[in-house]
Amino acid sequence: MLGIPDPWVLAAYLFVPTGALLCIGYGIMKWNKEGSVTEEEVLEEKTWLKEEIEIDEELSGEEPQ
Amino acid sequence: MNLFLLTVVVIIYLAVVSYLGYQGYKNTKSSLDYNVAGRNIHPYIMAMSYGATFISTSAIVGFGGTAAQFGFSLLWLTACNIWIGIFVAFVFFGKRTRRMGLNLDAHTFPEFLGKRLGSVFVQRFMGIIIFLTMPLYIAAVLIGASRILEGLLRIDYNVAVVLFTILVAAYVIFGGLKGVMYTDALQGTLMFIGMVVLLIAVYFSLGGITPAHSALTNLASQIPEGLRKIGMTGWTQSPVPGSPLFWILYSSLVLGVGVGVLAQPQLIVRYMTVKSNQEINRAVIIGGVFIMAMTGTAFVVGALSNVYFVNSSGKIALAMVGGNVDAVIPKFIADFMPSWFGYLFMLVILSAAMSTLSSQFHALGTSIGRDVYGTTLKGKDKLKSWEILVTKLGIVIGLIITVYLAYHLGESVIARATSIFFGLMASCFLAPYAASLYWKRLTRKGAIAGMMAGFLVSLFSFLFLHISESKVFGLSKLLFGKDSLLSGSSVFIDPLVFALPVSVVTTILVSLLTKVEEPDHVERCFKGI
Repeated sequence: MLGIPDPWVLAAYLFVPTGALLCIGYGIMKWNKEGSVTEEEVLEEKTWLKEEIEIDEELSGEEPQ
Repeated sequence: MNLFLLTVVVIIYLAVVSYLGYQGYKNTKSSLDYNVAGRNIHPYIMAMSYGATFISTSAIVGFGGTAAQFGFSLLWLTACNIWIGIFVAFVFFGKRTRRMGLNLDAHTFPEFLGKRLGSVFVQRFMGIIIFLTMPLYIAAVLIGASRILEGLLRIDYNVAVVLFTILVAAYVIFGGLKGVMYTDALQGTLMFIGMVVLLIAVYFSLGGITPAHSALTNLASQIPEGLRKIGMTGWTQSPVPGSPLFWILYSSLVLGVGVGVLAQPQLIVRYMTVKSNQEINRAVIIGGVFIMAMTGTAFVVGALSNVYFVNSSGKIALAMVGGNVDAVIPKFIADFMPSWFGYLFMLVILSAAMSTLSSQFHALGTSIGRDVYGTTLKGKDKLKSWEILVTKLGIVIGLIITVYLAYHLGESVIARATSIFFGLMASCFLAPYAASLYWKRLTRKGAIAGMMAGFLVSLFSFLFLHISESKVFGLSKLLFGKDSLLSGSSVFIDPLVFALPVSVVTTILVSLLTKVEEPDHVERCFKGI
């Protein structure tokens, strides 16, 4: 099949597109799931992102704001 | 070679990348609240950023060349890249890491585990291990990029290393460190287009999928004697079970890199920058398709280059490049594709190298600056400015070591250097990391013991068991009079095969024998999970 005589190697070849299909299927199924977040989480993320930006600024030699 | 056209293309490319980087950075800074509350970071950007960081010149040039040597069996690695590197990584590791990273206010992988376990030692130990070993992986990426410059511009390899290092240093210094995902997304898109065009062109020129594969199958009689001796039976055939090639292929390349990806510091950070699990769900789609187009193409094209070279010159790929596996893909692109594609492909390679290198240097610098030096500081005192200096110094030292390695590691080394780093990360950190995410009963002592066990078994294997390294170190020969304490083809079994199970068992056993140090802290870590 597909010019690959060894079933073990053929399996590897076929696992590649099936893996991609699994990813596509999962992503579509869960497209609108797990998007809700609490106020608390928003606050935590805000602090997290602020620190992340500070680190980046420090690394690039700018004064944190 | 049209030098003028090439220069113009590269300058335009660099200008666009710099502009995007600058814009993305400014935008994030000025609309902090908007970004957080609106959660509008597109999953496409997240997935492309992860993918562009994951896939580097090492994957395309190094592993593509390895596929030219060993054949389609390497596609097991692509399968692992998608099933484990994307699906398992995003769904089972990414979501929990994101939430727990928030709970812990962690910004690097060592900081994440250090805070989860309440241990500064863990953070420092990880920082040191990453700092000491990452240059090997960075060198692999740098060698890959330099081989492409060598092949396409037909310049000396040593000159190419210097040229590319200057380019990367400039990129890292002028904004590459800001880790802006927009830049990664542009680079990822370019990589995707380039690789898809390449795949279609190769299949088309060889008469279609099945005829191309059949032609490759028919080349079995041309396998070099050296490869046949270590167990190779054909480019579309599995190696002889238990042969040296079997262990090199499956234990080092497929398992080492395929599983090792789960414990990569520069990738784990990516989950923590995503806004919600919904983005991760959507990013799985793009990630899966992207990786298929990247390593899938590189390995298929690498193997099929044998058919092209035999048809055009009567020699297999390895013979065309004097045995240097790392030079196969550059040689193939230069010979097979029109010169305009060569320029496009060079941008693909520049993209692949830069997006990975910027994250690698970021991880390298922070490992020494934040995770090692930073943890010695109490609060935000005046010495904080030293942390920045140490981070930058770390990057400069890392760059020097990298260039040194790029000159001295020799030929056919990219895939091996990459798999050593991936395997070592998994051996030391995967068990404690996975347990941190899923097991409340994990104790600090258990995690440290698991980490140490993985590290020591890896070290022992590199020095006394795995012949590729033990022969270089020479300690085994000195003490025991032979290059490896193992015999037969087992000298090719990757250290990961011993180290990871030992690390898993140690983590579990020691945790069960000790008490959770701070149960309240563990509950805080798992909040919202």
